[in-house]
Amino acid sequence: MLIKYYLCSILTLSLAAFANASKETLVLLNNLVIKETHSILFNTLKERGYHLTFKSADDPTLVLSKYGKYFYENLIIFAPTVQEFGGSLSIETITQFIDDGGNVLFTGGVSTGSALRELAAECGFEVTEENSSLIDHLNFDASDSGKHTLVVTSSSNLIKSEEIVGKSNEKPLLYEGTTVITDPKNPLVLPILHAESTAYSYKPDLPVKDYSLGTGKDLLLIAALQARNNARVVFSGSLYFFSDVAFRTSVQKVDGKTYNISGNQEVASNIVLWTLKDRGMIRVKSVNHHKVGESSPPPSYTIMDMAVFLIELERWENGKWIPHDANDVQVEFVRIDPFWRGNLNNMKNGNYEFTFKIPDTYGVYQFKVEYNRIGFTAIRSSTMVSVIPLEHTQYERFILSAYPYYSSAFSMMFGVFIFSFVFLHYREDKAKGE
Amino acid sequence: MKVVFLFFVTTGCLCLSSSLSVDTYLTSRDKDQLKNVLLTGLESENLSDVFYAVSGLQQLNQQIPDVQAVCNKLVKYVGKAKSLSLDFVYFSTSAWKTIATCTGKLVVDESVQEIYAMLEKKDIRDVHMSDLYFGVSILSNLNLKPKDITKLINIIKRKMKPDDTITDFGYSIHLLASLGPDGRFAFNRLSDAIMQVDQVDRKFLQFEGGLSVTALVLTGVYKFCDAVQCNTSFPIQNDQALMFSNYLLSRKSVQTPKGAYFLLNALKTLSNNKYHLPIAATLVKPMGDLDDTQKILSVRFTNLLGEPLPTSLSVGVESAMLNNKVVMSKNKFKSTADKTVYELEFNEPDLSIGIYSIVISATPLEKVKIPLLGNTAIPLEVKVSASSVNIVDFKVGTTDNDQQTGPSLQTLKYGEKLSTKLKADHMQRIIVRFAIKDHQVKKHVQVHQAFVRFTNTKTGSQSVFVAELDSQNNYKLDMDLGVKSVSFKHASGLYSMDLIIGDSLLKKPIVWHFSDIKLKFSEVESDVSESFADFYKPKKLISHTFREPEPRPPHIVSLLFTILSLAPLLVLFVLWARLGVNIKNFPFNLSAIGFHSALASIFILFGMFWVYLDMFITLKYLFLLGISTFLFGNRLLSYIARRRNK
Repeated sequence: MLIKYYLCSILTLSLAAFANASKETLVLLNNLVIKETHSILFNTLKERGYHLTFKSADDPTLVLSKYGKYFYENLIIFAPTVQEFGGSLSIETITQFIDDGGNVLFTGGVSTGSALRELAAECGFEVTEENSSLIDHLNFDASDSGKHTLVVTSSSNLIKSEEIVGKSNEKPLLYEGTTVITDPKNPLVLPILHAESTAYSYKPDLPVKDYSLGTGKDLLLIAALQARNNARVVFSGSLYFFSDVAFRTSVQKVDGKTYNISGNQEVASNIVLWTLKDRGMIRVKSVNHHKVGESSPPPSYTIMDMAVFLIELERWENGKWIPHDANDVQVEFVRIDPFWRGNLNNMKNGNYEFTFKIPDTYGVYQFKVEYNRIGFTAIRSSTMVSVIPLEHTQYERFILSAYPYYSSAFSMMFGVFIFSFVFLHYREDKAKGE
Repeated sequence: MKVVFLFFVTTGCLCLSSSLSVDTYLTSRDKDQLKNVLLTGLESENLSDVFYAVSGLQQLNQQIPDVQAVCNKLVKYVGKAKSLSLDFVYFSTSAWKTIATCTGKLVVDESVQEIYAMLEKKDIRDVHMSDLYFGVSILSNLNLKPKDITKLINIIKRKMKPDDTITDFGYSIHLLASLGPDGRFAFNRLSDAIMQVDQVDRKFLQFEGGLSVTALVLTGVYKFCDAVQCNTSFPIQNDQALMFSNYLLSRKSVQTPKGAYFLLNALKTLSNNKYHLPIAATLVKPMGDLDDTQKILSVRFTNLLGEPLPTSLSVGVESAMLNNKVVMSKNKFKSTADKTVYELEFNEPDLSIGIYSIVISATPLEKVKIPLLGNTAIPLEVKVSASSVNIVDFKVGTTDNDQQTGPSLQTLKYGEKLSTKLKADHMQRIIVRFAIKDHQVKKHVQVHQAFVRFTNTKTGSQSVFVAELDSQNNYKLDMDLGVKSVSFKHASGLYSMDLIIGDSLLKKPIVWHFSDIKLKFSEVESDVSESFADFYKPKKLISHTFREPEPRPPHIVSLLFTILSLAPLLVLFVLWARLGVNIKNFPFNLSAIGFHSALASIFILFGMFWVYLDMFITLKYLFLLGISTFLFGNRLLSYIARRRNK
């Protein structure tokens, strides 16, 4: 009886652990005040079912994993000035965490600590110099303290992706902090929010010597990295961007335009949820392929067969998987190079179909679906099939051009048959011959 | 550990005692926001939020909308709950009492009996300090009293331990404060508890657990000291009070009714007590916002809630520095019609632009009972900006890259636009030169931002280039278009050129559209692929090209040759007919029929092999047919030979 009880509890415990697995989130803070000043964001996450563990960034007991198993799926670092992490946490362990699929959101500030700088560099973001701040003399908020560093940036500077930043609207965004520069050719780094063309990054109290720190739209305020393993890393140069104050304040631009409320709350919570893989997640539900007129995959295709490739995609939305509809999904039929690349027909409810003729070269092929779209997880699916040449009975049998050969062969056979009759059984008519 | 920490806190306070001040207060906008937060609390399903909302609104002197609905809610919740926990009853009765105008009755008699039973208990190990506090508060809410106060104090004495959590400590001093001077025994605990406070950025003091705990302990200490009269030895130092004030004001944006209530409660306690009065000195406009037309600096002195101080002040400048040089001292502020605002004429010696660091002090003019805090050595940063600047000696033009011909520059006045469009190609340079002068003093001015912006009139894409400052304070942009063509993405076309001048010391930034320019880049480089965008776009379609089948002759030719190949058989029959062949010798016996039919079968088998049989089946049949053909053939031939020999 007791054993039964234990078994039962172990089962439920492991189930509970499994259900919470993707929601375990470690939040590192400079000090616990940040937990209160950013309470709206944290409450949003709690309502979405995330289990947040708040720790100080230099807590000596910090640990991400034990015996190769991670305690957390997500890491949020709201500790801009941290110089060195506490406990067993270091740049190496965090990059390893990302390599193993963990998601990281971290923010800098006017003085970004060396630990975060290094982490940013590992992810392909170059944080501008210490004590430099985003300055825009043409777009700052009325509540700015006088250095023009509380910048109002238009929501049109956001990346065009509903998955990452939500539906576009007019509300401007408030931003105060540092900036990053990235290599625009790196396809994995996404510029989520860039500066206005009139903005630049410099130390507000010093006269300008040179603008090596970057100007205009090259400056990124929020940058994201979606790694090849779909781990997501987001860096924001501003911790203020995510704060309760920024969420709830009204915006008065220096040119006189006023807005009742900033757009920060929507955009920031969408960005955070995207980082924690609550948005923009798609996956392959099923893959199928068969010859036209059949319904199950054959052991192999013969060259020149008509084949159908079917795939079903799903998207994670509001806590459940729903069919994903798009019209730009492509499939490739690849041996070493693609022989076919075609648009999959959307058949509704997340089903896609592509009908094509198998090439006339035999070999080992793959059906490949590689779907990279901004804001979505990358899908890479490949299914291997073999394509064989025709069997001897499968060639064309009655070729008109070959009729002379057929007829000569059969006439020969018929001739032999008839001739053997005549040759063996001919009776010379003696009367006539005499 | 604690001693070390105390040492740290006290030394920290000592070092910083000169520069501590409060630079913000609860503005009416903040109050509106807090009010909105509290109003949402009224709607809450959670009884504690209703209580916090009701009390918070009372602290703000706001009316509670639809009082009777709230009262009904309380009655309903209390009636509905099966077993009433103490905090539940505490929140409902306190809200009831705070509203004061509720009609009806809360039925909580059972809980009152429970509280009395709890206070009589011998074994108090499982009684929490919060329960004691809630219990006694419920009694006082219902205008009842604990039966034996000395016994209650004994219970508290036994329960209070040095390692209590700070929350429990907060409840216990609140409880003791409500019991009057008999709680004096706990006085020594106060400084122990205050030692546990955390210091943040040398500016804030808070207890672990955040706003509500800090506020709970802070208000508790003041109440307790009111009750036991610890006048002279008040445990919170002046600097600590200022740091607590700073912490509380930094949490103005709190979003929960609970936080809003505690914030208001604590700020109210700090502003209305017998021990000290922290004041907030704030610039009326951010950084003063002075320029050559507006030369009066206004500073507002209020308590933390934004209310006027009980006394008028004499405000003086202790020191004022611009770029580490002393510019004025001992100037006095004037009072104004607004009791809270004091003004300083800021025009001496001459008002050069820059950021001034000013230290001011305010001393009360009248004798005040309660000493002011944070009124000396208040640091302020004041900005004097230029209201307008002029751009002079502005020249723009193009020149060839080889620099054999001098540049052809056109001069423009600020505000005008070049009448003809400029033209440049990738072999040329664009040159812009200008200087910036102050309107007033006609001096050269250095600015933080001097950009030339190119905007493609068709696509709207923008590129920004920086004009650099030379040793004569002139700005110059000298740009090789061939080198910079990457920034333009090699897109030829019409661009508009803007000059952007900005600085935090400039009242109005300048954006001047001074010219249009037609740029031409070399075509060869123009199709550079953007790998970033390509990565996320659908790729080009590929369809497989199948091998062409070999050409075949026309049908007529094939049919003709078929007929030709059948012709010999026809000729055979014709000739035989002419010869008159016969098969009269055919013996009707088994071997003859067998041989011929077997031979025919072999040929038919070949036909079938061609059409559908495979080789193995064909060989099997052929073997059987071959043997029979051989045997029948042998017998037939020997029969024919025998017949001939006869």
